[in-house]
Amino acid sequence: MSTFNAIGVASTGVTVYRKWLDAVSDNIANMNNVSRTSEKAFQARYVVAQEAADGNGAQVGGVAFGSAEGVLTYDPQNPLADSKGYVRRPDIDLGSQMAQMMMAQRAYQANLAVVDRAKESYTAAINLGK
Amino acid sequence: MTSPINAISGISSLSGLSGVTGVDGVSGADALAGAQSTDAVQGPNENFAGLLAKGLESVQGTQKTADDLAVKVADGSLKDPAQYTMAANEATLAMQLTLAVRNKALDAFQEIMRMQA
Repeated sequence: MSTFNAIGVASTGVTVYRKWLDAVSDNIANMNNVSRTSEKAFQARYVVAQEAADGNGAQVGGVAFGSAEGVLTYDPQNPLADSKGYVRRPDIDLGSQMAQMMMAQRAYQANLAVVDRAKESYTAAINLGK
Repeated sequence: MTSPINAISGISSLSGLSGVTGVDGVSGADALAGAQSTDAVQGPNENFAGLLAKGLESVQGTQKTADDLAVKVADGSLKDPAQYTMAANEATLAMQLTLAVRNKALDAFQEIMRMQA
């Protein structure tokens, strides 16, 4: 970690964005869940990224959850509907999740590009000594 | 990728390099110590053999990390394969760096052995 620090730091970034991608995939997978109005809706997951505790890179500080209230939808055919015909759906916007997915994917790739360049640079430095 | 490197544990025979400490000229590397803030370089008075031993230890550490992650990849318990590839990268780089330093030291030693009185 200490000798080739750039790789270690970039790998923390890779981990953070991998977790963000995990959260987005979780949100998209549960986007169309239906629950009874007496129950909680699926809560969107948002990772909280922050500077790493040791100052080298980034880390996931925790997970924040979206609204448990969700959206009340009128769907009397649904077996889960209450007496007034309403069900609860998660308040997740597919467009926003897709945008987040693109951001996470690009940032993941950017961190891997850093690893690639750092490796190239270190190799060049080592070859200088050969 | 990392398994053939186990063979390099034979590099511990390098401790024979402590003969190189006899080379006072190498202590001219003191000037370099100021330029490097890596943990391996503790102070200007540390001898080359000590530095090399410390370097080898850290190389061994990276190899072990990469090996452990390789096992985890194989048994499927590693969620993030990128962690393994990056650790393997780091281990490879550390190995290359060690070899470069070893070859340089050996070159210096042989150069001195070729000196005529």
